[in-house]
Amino acid sequence: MSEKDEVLRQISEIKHHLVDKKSFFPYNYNACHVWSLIAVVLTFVMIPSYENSVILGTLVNTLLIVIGFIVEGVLTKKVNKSYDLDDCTRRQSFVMKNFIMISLFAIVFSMVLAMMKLYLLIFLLWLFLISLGYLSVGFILNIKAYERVAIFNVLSSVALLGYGAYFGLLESRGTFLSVVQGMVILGLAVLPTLVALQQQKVEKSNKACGV
Amino acid sequence: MFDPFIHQPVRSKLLSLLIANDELPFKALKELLKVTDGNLSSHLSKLEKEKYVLIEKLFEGKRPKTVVHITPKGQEAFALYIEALRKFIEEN
Repeated sequence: MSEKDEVLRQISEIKHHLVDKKSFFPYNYNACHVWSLIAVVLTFVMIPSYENSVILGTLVNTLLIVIGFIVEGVLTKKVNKSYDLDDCTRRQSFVMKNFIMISLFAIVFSMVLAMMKLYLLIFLLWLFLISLGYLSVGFILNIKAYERVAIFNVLSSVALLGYGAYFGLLESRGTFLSVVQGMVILGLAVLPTLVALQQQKVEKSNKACGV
Repeated sequence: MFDPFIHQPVRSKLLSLLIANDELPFKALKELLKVTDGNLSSHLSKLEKEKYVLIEKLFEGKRPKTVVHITPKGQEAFALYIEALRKFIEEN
């Protein structure tokens, strides 16, 4: 290998760690499956619980999200322990804070929308905001699939919002609501689970190859 | 021309990781660099001798733990190394 090749190789390695953000981010992708499950449960229980009372709906919403964060915290702590890390890394902390702030805003905003019985907008709000979170995760972890899912979800939520507003379907309890719920399940449960499974497969094969 | 303590694949990767993360436990570095304990220790002691990294030995309960930090001198040397790489590519 010539000296120039050697230098180029060194630059490429350094670039991987510094520019491509291929730096340290221990993550247990099982947390993604838990979030997918929570998304499915919330999609089905949200309207009945809000209809019972807005306070009950908000409590159910908050409880499920808190459970998600607790599970995520426990799994992250476990994976960090395997690397001798006591605290979160800066990136982990950023991602966590990002989702906590998004969730807090979404919970309060959902409460306001539930008071006005605009349930359909609650689903679009969560689809849009959580996907923005996924967009930042995809960028920080350099996982293009997360970015693609996020962009797909954001565009879908905007398109559904526009369609619903144009045809006066935002208070709909019929087919259009089912379509929106279906999109939430697809965008916040099915697709993230598929990406997580793919990532788990990549991690497994990297370990097997000793990469 | 190039800093011999950095111009080595494992050590340059090691310093890149420390620049990106400020500090990392020995175990995490070993996993990320895919090297043996002995190999990593040998690279770290070279960098420590030059005061590019600071190796802190701690106890977590009864379990020993080693954390590696990059020093300001290490950061400066790394910046100069990147500059040297850039210059080399420009001239060749």
